[in-house]
Amino acid sequence: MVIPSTPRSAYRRVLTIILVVIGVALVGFFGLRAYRAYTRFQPDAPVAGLRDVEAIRGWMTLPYIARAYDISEDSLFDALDIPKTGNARLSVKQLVAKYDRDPQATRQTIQQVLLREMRGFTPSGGAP
Amino acid sequence: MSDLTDALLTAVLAYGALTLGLALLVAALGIPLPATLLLLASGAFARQGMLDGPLALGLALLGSVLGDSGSYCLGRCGGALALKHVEGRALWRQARASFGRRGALAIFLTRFILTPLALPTNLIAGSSRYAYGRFLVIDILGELVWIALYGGLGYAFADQWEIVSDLAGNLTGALIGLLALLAGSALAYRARRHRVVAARAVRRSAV
Repeated sequence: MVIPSTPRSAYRRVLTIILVVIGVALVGFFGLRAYRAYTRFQPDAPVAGLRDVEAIRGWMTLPYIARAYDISEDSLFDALDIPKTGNARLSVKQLVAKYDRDPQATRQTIQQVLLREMRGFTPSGGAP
Repeated sequence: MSDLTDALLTAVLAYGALTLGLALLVAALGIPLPATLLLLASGAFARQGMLDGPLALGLALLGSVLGDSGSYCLGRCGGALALKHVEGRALWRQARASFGRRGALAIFLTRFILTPLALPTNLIAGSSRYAYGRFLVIDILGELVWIALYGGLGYAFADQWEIVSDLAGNLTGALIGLLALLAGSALAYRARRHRVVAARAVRRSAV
């Protein structure tokens, strides 16, 4: 027995197909990304500040880097030859732009200071 | 991370919890800002001693609740104008009654699980004239769960908050996909049942 389809049932069929297709696509796409993020996550890692010098990001301020890696702020400002006054609230990226520095060289200078000054540093071998 | 996210993270570090509260207020009004990421980062910053934890929690709650109330008001005022022509219709009355019955759950869940749907929920709550007092109480409870959950995760995994943020964002996307899939399956099931009932009725009338 064939039941004739009404405009309303045709609309519902299209809506059903759209919802299922979008649902499968979203679950697949975000599920895979979530799985990848989960594989990088280490729930048992120690939480005693940052350890890996590769974790330096452009948005970080120098006082934050100093606090997170447990070193003195002054050594970072001195190594970069930047006055602390007026620069404590600027990010590494903003400092690079303000003083027209090479981003890579600035990053390396910060990493060298961290490696030199961090107490009990052990290389962890990867960015968080 | 985008330039905007970078700028917001720097601002939270440089100017403290007030920036977090303001960012959450603006995000709740519908401006697309990475609110959950900021909350996770703030939890980590509090653990690292860069933010005053209780102050950040208070200002985050205040900002997000004020923002949600703002978008509720937008729905209430804007909705009254935009929906003037459907106000008397039966379907609109039915939708409004339906939100009145199930709105509390929708408001609560969109605060911390289905966060991308929070703004539309606020607008619908306002435009359907959902009682503001009830909205506010559920909103505060939901926002507290959101702040405690993500701020707590940032605090607990301070050195891995970027990964946790990535994980949480993608799980939310997958959950929304799962909801779409469930809604599609429910529609397909109802349509099939409707067809079976209709076929039976036709067969019976033929006999």
